[in-house]
Amino acid sequence: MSAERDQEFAEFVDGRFTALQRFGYLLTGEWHLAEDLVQTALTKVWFHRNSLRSANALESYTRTAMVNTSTQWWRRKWKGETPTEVLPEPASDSQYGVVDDRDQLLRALAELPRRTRATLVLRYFEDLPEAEIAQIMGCSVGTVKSNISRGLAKLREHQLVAGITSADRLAPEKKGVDHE
Amino acid sequence: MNDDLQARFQRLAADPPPPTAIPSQAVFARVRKVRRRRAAGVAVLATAAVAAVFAISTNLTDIDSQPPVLGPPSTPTPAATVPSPYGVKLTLKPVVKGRTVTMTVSGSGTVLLPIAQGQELPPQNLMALSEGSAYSWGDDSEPFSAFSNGAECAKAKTPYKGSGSIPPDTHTYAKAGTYTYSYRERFCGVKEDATASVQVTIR
Repeated sequence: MSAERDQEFAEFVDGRFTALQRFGYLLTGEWHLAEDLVQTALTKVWFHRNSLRSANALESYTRTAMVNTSTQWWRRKWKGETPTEVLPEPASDSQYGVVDDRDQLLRALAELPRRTRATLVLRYFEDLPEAEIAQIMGCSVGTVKSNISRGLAKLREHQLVAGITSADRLAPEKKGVDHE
Repeated sequence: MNDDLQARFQRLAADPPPPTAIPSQAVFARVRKVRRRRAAGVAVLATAAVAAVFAISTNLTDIDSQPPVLGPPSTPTPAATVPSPYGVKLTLKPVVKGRTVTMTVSGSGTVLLPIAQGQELPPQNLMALSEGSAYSWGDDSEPFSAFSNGAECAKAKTPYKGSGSIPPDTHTYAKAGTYTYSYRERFCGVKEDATASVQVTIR
């Protein structure tokens, strides 16, 4: 039974690693950190694998572990960074438009609170419904909506988002508590 | 707008570098490392316990060769059990070493066997039958939470009485203090999640 489970887990890891690495990159902004994050999260999940069976639960559990771990890393390791009012301009010219575009989004994401950032990535990169995001983040759907709304507002400040759709707009009474 | 942002995200994460090692092998290497570290921690604790017993038994300072009066044990690691009225009783056993706590979670009770991919799961470690769990170490670290959507419980009908445990989890607190570790586990057939909590004092 244990060997079977290990085999299933190994298949999951090898099969989903690249997708999780992409998710990790959008959470951390660095590829090598993303790989470290995925491996750290999967190690944590391995010790809880007896609680899980289906591939869906495993993936959901892993994403939760990644979000929580990235938040913990940020709190523990990177609080010593000195914040600056204005980020240094990128050195690339306009001919590298694609690079600029990526860089701009990465910088904008870096300014977001960790959980807001994770919420946006889960919503707009992973394309998950709000209910599932709430499950992964361990918060209410209202908080998810609130985080999405605030995150989009920040991205809009960077002119990365032209406007928000009615589906993204929050009714005032539905604004949830932000757990940042 | 959604499509535009989605496209931006996809472009941003479009070119992941190849992993530095075979992913599953890298993860299992980490698992082995954690296990070795935990095993080493247990060995150190056992050695410390033996040394403490020896020290106490030989430390007869009184005129009647009575052992000195000792204060309460410095490591507050009593097993704490919080009964759950909903079918599963969880037991938490923290072991404190310095600021690091190793928590063992076990449970016993009666649940319904979940149905995964059309097949009822066989009777086994009770904790392996859960639909997810959540825990918090009680400090400023992020609480953990992951639950399945309950689909596996929809047609569950066979009761199973058993017990089991989850591999120990370890956490290091940043500073001394008294913390409340809380744990929640969900099972098919149990109306409310089984919960347990225990206070951990870090000196």
